[in-house]
Amino acid sequence: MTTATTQTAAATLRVEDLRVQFHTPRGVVRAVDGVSFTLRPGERFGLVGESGSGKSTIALALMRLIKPPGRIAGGRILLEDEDLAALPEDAMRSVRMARIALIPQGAMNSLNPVMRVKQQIIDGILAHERERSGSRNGSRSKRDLEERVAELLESVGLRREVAERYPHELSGGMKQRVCIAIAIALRPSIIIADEPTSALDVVVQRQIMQTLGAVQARLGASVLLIGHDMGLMAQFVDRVGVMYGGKLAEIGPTREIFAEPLHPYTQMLISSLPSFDRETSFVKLAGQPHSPLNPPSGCVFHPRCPRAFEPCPARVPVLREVRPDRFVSCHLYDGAVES
Amino acid sequence: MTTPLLELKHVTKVFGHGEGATVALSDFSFAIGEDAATIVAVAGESGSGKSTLARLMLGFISPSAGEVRYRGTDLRRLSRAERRNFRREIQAIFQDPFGVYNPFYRVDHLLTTPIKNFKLASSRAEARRQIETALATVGLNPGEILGRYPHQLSGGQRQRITIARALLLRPRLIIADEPVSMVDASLRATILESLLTLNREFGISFIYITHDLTTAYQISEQLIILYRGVVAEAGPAKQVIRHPQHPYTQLLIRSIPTPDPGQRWMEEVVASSGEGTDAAVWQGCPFASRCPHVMPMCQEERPPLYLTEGAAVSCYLYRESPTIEEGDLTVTLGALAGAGSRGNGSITVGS
Repeated sequence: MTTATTQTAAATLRVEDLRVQFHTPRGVVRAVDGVSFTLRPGERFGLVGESGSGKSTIALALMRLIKPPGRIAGGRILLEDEDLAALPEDAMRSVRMARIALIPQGAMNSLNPVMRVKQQIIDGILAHERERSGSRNGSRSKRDLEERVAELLESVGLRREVAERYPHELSGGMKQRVCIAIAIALRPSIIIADEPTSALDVVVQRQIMQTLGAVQARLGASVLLIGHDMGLMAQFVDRVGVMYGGKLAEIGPTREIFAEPLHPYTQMLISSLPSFDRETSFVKLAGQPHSPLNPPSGCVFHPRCPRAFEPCPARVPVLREVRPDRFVSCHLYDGAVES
Repeated sequence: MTTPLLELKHVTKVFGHGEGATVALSDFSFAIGEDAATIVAVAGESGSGKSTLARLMLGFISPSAGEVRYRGTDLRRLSRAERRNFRREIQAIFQDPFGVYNPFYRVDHLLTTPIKNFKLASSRAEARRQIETALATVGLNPGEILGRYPHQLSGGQRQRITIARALLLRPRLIIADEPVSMVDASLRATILESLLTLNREFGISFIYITHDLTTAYQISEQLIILYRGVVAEAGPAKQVIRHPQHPYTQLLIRSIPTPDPGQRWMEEVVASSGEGTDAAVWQGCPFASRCPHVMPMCQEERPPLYLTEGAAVSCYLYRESPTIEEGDLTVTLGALAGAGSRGNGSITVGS
């Protein structure tokens, strides 16, 4: 705890009307269609949604890693008032990992199988020092770097000897810890974790999330957790945003969302969660998710919504603050905006 | 007792040789009869042996020791006719509802093939009628499904078509290996509902293989918890989940993040061992290195299954209880079944 206490300035990330489109031969897919949210200093914010809801695309967009045929088609990504969406690529390279780090989906399977753990962590550090060319040109000694690697491994709950191992010698949980170590190597102020535990069993999952939480606290960083598991969100994040069809249906403090979900989709997601304590029946949702090429008119959720009424097929609802810190995008609350 | 439909007798499966050998399943005995259709969930983390068990039951792999018997005959010694019956009566549903489809064929192909192979229909019209009935049973509208290509259907629809395909063959037992783990939460209930329909209306038994205790709780009557190829605990699903007795089952259940933000899930510190591979576990209890209640005897010899109140538990903490003969779970589970029932079988349509 003593070596790396809160060396990161708390930062705010403000996403405004973000749009990501994929141009396919069969038409334009609006994977992210006007999403706005704020990641506050030091908080844990969750984006939850089913496959195709756009949540992973948001993670890639924040890192400016959308590849053709996809592109950021609009909106702003404000990190400390600097718009990452408009940043030239070479400037963006010095932001990645140093200020915003991503633990991508399936990261543990993307470790280089023929490289020792140590080298994979050092490569990330050195790439950035080269990027900030001139100022610290190769100033670090080999011993400094190895010491830094050892510190990083210990901070994610691994022994320093793991530095000398190859990925195949590690369990899934250990590999995921290495990925966290790589992500935090440059002490980012924002850590984006995309389904960091989806391939792990529940016992290891909890250990990894505890590690991520401890690392975050030490750095004073914010975490954006992306996932589909409402249970994991309930246990880890302070606030949660619920995605459906490329849009945010609802944002609010986790406790309040679980106690009283406002959007009918969130209500369905929460009521469909099984519990061991109560004798609930499980709820299923009518209909199928729409084709991303052909979204419904008005509210994208209206064909499946049990509470749809006249305005829903006609007008797109706007995400609005209907109670303090509770944002919802649903016509049911059109008259409920507090002033 | 009549001859069971499918029976595993002291089945062990070892992969690899010598130093690098992995015991995927160790001395597992179990039987599925035909008297009453049941749903047995087999749950465990990756490496627990649950998928190995599914592949052994389907005859995809052969045991290293012990026997898998279909209607009393070792799978390796089935006659041509018996093998054909086995292939019809025991069906499988797999995790990936995308992998079983050939993208170049319409989905009809997946449904007509078994009808042709097993000569289930006397005419084209009869085949069509059977397919439409099977699709309707799993909640699909045949008009929206037939004639389509796989890419035009959602994962939930595809998985239900594979269930309809299994149903066409009128099996006695379906081995479902993680059938909902690749399907989104909002569609999961629909799949589970189809499985329950087949179980209740057609008297088909299920072996439901999963890593997810919540769905196991929802649909299964009995639950077997595997840990590193060994049965840790088995009993009525509701009993095992609400009152877990084996320290591993207890850890597993406490580790599930629940949608209750007051759970304090992040706070409990769990000893981080058990990751990686320690070969020494094979003489004692495989959970000993992670167990908060470990005793010297746990390191020395594998605990037998003890019959405690409500469940079979392989743990010396329960050594005052009687042991279960030969580790055969079937009789025990049958006797315990009276005490508890399906954790949760009702499904409502949210509207």
